[in-house]
Amino acid sequence: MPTDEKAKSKLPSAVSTEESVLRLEDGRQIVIWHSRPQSEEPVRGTVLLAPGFCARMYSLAAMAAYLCANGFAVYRYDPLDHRGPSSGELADFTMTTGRYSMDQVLDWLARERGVESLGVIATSLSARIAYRVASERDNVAYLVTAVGVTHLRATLERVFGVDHMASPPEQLPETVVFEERHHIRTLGFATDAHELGWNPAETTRAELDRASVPIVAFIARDDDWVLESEVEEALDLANHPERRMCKLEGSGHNLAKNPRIAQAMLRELTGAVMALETGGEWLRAGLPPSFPAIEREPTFEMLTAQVIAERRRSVR
Amino acid sequence: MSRATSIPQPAGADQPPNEAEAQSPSVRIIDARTAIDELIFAEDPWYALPLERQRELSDALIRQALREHLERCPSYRDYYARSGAAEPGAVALADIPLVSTRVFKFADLRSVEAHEVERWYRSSGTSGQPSRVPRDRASLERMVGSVHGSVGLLADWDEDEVAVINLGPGREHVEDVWFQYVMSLIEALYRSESRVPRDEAALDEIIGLAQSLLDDYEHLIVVGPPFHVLDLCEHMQRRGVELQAGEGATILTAGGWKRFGGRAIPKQEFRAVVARQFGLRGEGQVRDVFNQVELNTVLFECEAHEKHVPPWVHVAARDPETLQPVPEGEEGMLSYLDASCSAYPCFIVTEDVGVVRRGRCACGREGTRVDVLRRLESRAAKGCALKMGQIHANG
Amino acid sequence: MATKTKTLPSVVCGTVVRSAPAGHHTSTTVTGHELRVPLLAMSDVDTILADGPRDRLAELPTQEIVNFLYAAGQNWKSSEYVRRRLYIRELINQLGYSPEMAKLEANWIAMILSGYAGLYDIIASELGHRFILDEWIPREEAQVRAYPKGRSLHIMPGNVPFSAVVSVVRALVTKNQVIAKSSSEDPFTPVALAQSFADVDADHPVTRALSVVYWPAGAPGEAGERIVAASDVICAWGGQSAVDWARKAARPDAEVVRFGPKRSLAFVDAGERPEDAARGLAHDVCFRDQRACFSSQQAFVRPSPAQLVPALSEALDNYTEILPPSAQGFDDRGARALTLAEARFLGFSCWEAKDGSWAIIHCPPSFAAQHPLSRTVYLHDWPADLDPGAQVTGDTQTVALFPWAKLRPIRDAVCRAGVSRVVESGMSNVFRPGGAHDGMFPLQRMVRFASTELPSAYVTKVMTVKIEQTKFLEQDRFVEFIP
Ligand SMILES: [Zn+2]
Repeated sequence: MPTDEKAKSKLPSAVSTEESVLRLEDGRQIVIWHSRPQSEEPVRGTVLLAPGFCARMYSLAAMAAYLCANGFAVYRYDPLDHRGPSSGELADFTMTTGRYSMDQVLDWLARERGVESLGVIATSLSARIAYRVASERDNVAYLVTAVGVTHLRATLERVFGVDHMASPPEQLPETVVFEERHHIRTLGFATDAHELGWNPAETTRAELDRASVPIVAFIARDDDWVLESEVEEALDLANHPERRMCKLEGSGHNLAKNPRIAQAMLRELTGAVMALETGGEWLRAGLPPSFPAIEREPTFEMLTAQVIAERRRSVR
Repeated sequence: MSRATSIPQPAGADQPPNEAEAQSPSVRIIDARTAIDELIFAEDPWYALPLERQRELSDALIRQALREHLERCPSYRDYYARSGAAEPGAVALADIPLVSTRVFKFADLRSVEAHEVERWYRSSGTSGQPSRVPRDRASLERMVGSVHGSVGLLADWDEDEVAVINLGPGREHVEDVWFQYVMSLIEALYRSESRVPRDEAALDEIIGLAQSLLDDYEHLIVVGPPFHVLDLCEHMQRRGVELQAGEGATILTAGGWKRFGGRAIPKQEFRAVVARQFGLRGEGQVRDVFNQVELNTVLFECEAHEKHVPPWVHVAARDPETLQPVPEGEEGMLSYLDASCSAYPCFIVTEDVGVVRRGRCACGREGTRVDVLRRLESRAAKGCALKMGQIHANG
Repeated sequence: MATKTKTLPSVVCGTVVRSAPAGHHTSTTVTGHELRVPLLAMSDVDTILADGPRDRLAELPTQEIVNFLYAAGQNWKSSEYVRRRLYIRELINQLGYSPEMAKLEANWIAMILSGYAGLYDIIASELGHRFILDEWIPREEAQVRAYPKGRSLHIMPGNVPFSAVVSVVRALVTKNQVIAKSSSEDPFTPVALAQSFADVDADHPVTRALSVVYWPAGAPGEAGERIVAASDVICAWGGQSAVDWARKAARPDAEVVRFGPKRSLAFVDAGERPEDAARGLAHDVCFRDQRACFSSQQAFVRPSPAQLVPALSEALDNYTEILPPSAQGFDDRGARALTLAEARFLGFSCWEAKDGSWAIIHCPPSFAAQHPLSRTVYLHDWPADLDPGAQVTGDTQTVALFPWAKLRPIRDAVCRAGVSRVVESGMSNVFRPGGAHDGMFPLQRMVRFASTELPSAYVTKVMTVKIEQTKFLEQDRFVEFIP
């Protein structure tokens, strides 16, 4: 008779998550989720997760679960003009809207929750925004990016197969289709990208030259949209001992596709956040040779329970 | 977000996760690749691979799994040694020693540490000793992957466009019965409602729910055991309800093809009834899936109603006496070598009788298909001799 | 898979009926043939439940019934008898029997029917007197007589022809009308038996008392429900579900006699005469391929199972020759292959015949939960401290012993624990007159006893005066008569 290791235990409950609504002066609102560790121990630190373009908050459920399990308070938000519950339509998204949303959330965290300093973990397109934010605000203590975009124009050309940014405004198609389903208006996005310098790799590099926060950037070696060389160029690792690249073998841009790789990445990312959270000037002199091992790992059942709970919250 | 597919390299690419090797202090390489996961979670579906490639992958993945289980599962290692089978590299797949699924009723088979076991899952059924099978995180993720990877045999849906009615208990009530557990995981993929059609009121509610979900979503999936689906259809008939789902619904069955009292449900008749009652465009929208607690991979039917077997599973129909594979197309006892399971050696021979076919399917895809025909039923059980654990004796 | 279709008739009060107004039930035999049997029809029920067939038999003297059965048995004894030859052919072609086993079944039918002395002995020993069904028999201060219960329904076992015949004969000699609900596994035996009665005398009350019908297990339909409701006794053979169904379906005042499911085992001390030990065990394993409840499935062996294996293998091989096993269907072979795979996984030693006709597994008794039958014998260690009583339960029918004289004392332990029969190894299939079957004397369950008691003129053993109750009360003398 098999021994009953976990058979009798109840379904492990998901991380507890609360929803807050940030009401802006113009009447629009940004929805924010706050997930906390279940344990009674004091919180190790606070991080803000920014979802990739078109991704919803619950796509970051596993990342939130890993961080919570290891003692972090985790905030997530859905930007304005995005796919989730915040105001606006995805079709109207621009980089500056994304930037504005992140700023608003960081202000709200300082104002409403007393979070003066925190880590930001940004995925894909939101990483490009986070690089700029980190170079301009001083309450971002460290930055972790995952498949983060550094050369917007090149990435968009790879995604759509056409360099729309090269087109004069009058020749732009009204919309482009992202992932076969989502229509995005081009004119506003392109105008914003041109005017506010989001497009070229050089602006990213320039912003990062000004930034002084430690950065850990995860890249996927089989990523067709964000190239390893672009990220290397932007980070200028040779001159920045407080920065590190973690290269994931065998993964494409979607890091969640293969759970083995996702698991390895989340372990490393959580370890990185644990190291970065200890903070201090010494990090600026160089990151430790390896990050600490995580203390607790969520089970499959915990992760599933959380995904389902968050999905229910999103759908209903 | 998509990327070009890398065809996995089955042998050699595996390294234990988290083993990183630094090029320079500021760069870390994280290589958590495993051939089995690269195949299960590949961007392009396994059923698009040519037959020969599927065969190569199958061979390599199963040998790799065999090596791992021989290393980690002492009871299987001993059994293997006693059987006199050749080394994992040399043994023919047909000669890999098989564990009878009934062993899971009374023995503890485990290839992972006790703390790595997420849970022991048990077979459904009300009588007799249930099978109990451990699963770790990787096995569970791969099981879900086998569902995700095969859903394409049904259709290409966006997760937001689909709603599911699960004719079974919801997650809060499933406990450790594997069948119910698997069904309840659908909620991790799609918006789902779970309802057990236990009485008239529940059936009425399900009909109402189906109607409103058909209105609100592009596609409705109703999933449940065949007898529950039939109950639902018969109830619709009594109530005079005929839905007009057209192309907007798929009815997915899973579980035994017998009603209470042992009456078998003829599959073709079943599909016709279901298609009529739901107002489907065709019977191709009525599909069956197969799984059992001792098998880690879920097998889906294509539009030709054939169950395609992914390359990480080797299925064979075997002679009831020698347990050697019978020629293709002949009836035999079904056995599976499932490389997706890390928690226990999933090299099993079952009490199911079925037929295995290889080559091109009527749906156009190449690969292996299995037709599960019936459960082994010992005629000896019908004399007056008592066979312990005997449940049914037919007249 | 089906190559030929065989359609059987039903028998309604001795008359063969080939029409099937309620349709047929179709099944596939172990040899892959399609077999059709008529489903019980309402019109058949009307005929069966008429008073005539029941009452005519009840009025017949026992000896006429016994003589009639003897006459039928004499036919069965003759190898020239066409019914016997057809029957043997069906068992071989349809049920996959070896010719030797089929012939043996026919011989056993002849033996039961012809054994008039044995039948009288059984009546005498189980009911108290040979003539008790015909006469008032003095018994202490009364005269008793046995009457048939009336109508008996027999839920027949699958594939154990012998038991089907025994069930019918027990009911007939107690003058009960018989409705045999045959099994789809062996619909041949009851029909052949009924036809052999008609061969003797088509209008004889015994012939008229026997009907052979069919409905699928547990699903009698309206017609079958009428039969069940009219049955005073139900003899249920076979699997647990058949027995459970009978108990549920029977009228509250009806007698339900349950045979099986049971298992049997042996205790063998092979220290001195391993060849003899092996021969007896092999017989009990091979007879009816372990389908019968008395077949040995397991044996506790001294000094060690491994020492018995060579002799046992040889004895089993010998039985393969003299009594070849019946054809094993796909499922039976599969069940054994799975069992062997399980045994090997668990590290038990296994021995198999080269031709697959038998298998020996040396395993602990707990493994007996998985028994595939089909001449598979489990050998268990028999350490000195083993309590034989702990190895049996109420589900154990027969315990076979070798050597008899040395091991007979075991009987106290095993019978106290639930066993109903202890025999010498190799004799499991011989039910001696006087013996108990499944813990009872079945004939007693087929009859109703009545008594006429002595009048007051007779004194009792404890009183020397006439019984005058009124006077005793008036004089308050009752206490004087208390011994
Ligand atoms: Zn197909």
